[in-house]
Amino acid sequence: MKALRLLVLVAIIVAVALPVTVAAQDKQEVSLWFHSGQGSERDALDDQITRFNEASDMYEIVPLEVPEGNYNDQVKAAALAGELPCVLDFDGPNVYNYVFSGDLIPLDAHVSEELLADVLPSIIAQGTVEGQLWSLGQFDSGLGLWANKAMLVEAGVRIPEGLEDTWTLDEFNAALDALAGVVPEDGYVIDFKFTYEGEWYSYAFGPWIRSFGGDTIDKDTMATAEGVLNGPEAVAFGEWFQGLFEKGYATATPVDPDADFNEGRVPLSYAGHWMYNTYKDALGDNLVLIPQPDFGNGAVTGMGSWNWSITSACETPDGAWAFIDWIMQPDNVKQMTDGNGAVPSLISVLEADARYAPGGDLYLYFRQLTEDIAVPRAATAAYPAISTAMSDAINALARGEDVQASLDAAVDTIDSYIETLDQ
Amino acid sequence: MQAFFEKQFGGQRGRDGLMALLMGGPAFLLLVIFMIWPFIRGLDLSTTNQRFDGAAATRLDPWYANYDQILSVNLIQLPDVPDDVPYSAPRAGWYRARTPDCKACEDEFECEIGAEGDTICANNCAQMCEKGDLIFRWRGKSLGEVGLEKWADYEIARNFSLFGNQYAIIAKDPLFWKGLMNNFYFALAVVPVQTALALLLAILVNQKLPYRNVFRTMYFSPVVTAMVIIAVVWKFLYNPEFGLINEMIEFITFGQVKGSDWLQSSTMAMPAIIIMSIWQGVGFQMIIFLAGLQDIPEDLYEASGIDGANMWQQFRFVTLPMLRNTMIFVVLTTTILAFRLFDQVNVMTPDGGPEESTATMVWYAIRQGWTQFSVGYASAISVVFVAIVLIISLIQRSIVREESALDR
Repeated sequence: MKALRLLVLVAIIVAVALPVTVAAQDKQEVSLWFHSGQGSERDALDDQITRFNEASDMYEIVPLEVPEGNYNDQVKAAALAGELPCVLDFDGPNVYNYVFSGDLIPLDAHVSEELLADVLPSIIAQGTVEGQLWSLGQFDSGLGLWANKAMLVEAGVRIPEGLEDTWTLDEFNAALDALAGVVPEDGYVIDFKFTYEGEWYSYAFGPWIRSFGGDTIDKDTMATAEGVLNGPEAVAFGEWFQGLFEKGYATATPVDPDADFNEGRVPLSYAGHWMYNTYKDALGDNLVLIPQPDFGNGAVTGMGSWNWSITSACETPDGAWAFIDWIMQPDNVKQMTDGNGAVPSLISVLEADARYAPGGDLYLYFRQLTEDIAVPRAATAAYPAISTAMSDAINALARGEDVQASLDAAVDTIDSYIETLDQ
Repeated sequence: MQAFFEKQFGGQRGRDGLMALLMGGPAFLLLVIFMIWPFIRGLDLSTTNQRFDGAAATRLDPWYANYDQILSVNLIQLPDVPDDVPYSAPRAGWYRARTPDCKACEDEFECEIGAEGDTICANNCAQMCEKGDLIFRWRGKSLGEVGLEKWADYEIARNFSLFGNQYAIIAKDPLFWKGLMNNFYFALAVVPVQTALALLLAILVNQKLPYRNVFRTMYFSPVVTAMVIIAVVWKFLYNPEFGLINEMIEFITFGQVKGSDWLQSSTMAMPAIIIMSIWQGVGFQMIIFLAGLQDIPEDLYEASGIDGANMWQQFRFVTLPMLRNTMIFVVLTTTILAFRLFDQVNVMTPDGGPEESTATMVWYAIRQGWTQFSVGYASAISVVFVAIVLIISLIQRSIVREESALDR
């Protein structure tokens, strides 16, 4: 009995003392999840959280860093378990699925006209579902071919000036053939970042399939991928893409593709803005950005990046908004994009940045995003299936598996997911 | 509490009962929380369409719909191959895959000037192109178009030709069966080889060699290393262009033998994972065999030596029979571990490998539940998986029992 009495005593002390200690803190805690991306992104965000917590006497942000590889899976698991944080970031196209599942609340009530007027239209387009705005991001993405200027010149390959004179498919093929003659013995012609996992393949190769005349889903109905992702146009992409591996121009098993490009073993690297700082440091003025080639139906590029939203589980939406509003301040957007090389989501920041002015290293990104070249990823709750299907299919193509069968399998993955959503 | 036990069982026994409960309690509690309760929940979920998306779950009608989807298989005859097989895929029907040679040939037209000065181009690729695989394509509910309406829900798992007719094994979920077959392939290769190798190593490190503890530690160290780390390292070793394994093969054979594509090839991906898994796991079985070996009384060897038995006879008639129980334990645990194959597959071939050659049952359950959010369906896969492993274990045990009955 003595032990029991002691236990009751402890319980009483805890019950009485706990609210006191919480009240003593005085600030409301706001939980936050973010993906552990590049180091520079983490550093910028850490700094912004610290400064927010110092400045705010109402709210205290409690951050948790989650690995990027299966970030989306963890968010979905947390949603099912009712353990979602208050604020979270996620890769753009997932917003449709999260809204469909009721995981988020709209931002319209909070966001000011002034801020909206300054945000890039592509960011607003990506965060808008059913006429409401659900997410905002500090940056948009840029996608194109990074090239080693000296090697291109050596091979006699024409470097496009802008979107108007971008490579056609024939010209791209000829460039690859010519470059094959100048790469060192331990090199290859084009790097497709096959060390990445997950979302990369949908983001990077969806636009190419579109430029070939196919797509990842029937954009009119959003009900099936049949005939679009496995139609003759997509098969033509698949056969061309597979050919690059058969000819030895590309490898599906690179060890360190970043180093391969930095050290001149590969002249072309298909990658996004996030490689800018790394490549610029290594190549300097020898680095050149080549716009997306035109594969027959006009050049198409990807867009969208990591976004911030408030979840429906949040008990302090005002605190959550205060934080999102804080990171959307021009200074904070600038700090972030200086670090990660992404396109700032605020027009005021973009215009002040020499890199995005005509003649700047990243001017092409600005043009791609503002001139209808960039196409958002499919706005459908089935997006997670598209992401998985594309990753599987592109890897299968690179390994030399049957093109039609690989694309059929991708369609099956997407369509069976849509079927379960409809139930 | 103690008073209760003392009253129920009286003095000493009551105190023992309480003690047993106290000692066993944490283990029982953990078993219930982490094994029994999740399994019951899994059984329940497997009859629903529960998803991660937060979409409301409903009980399926009929309740066994998930199991029906997983387990339905059949054998059917496919329509005959037409005389003129197309090269581009129809919605349903036969077509021929273009091989790289065929594609290259078609790209190169052979042109010559005709009799009237016009240019005639022809590419005689028929021979080259006929080597392409015959593929029967099958999209959605398009089977009615080829007269197979009855099997609209099925997909082809594998087709083959027999006496000039084309047959196909069809399943509602071919990937599950593929995973099951891959599991059997893995287990049939790993269990005998790993057991034999472990026994060999155990005998080796049981010799009175100098520094034998160093060898024991070396063989055992992969076991205590996390599988994920080992898998990442081996992924680099298997790299077809820069990997150590291919470089070694080429070095040893003076460049005569080209290395394999390993994880990139549908025939070599599973063997690659098998080799790596045996290397990783063999130390564990070795330690168990070592314990078994050290339990064999020395005088048995002395006696058999006096009777004139040579080394092989001693191994065959003393060591092996004395290791019988150890062997049973090792084979049973290795089999169960082999069927649980997941970590290395998920790290080395996250998408299930070339042509799903390394997809396993556990990988598929996690793929369905975690990536595709179909928790209900994944639960059903897990239940079927547990049932299969249970049946295999029971069969193994009954075989062992029969043999021990014969011994007497």
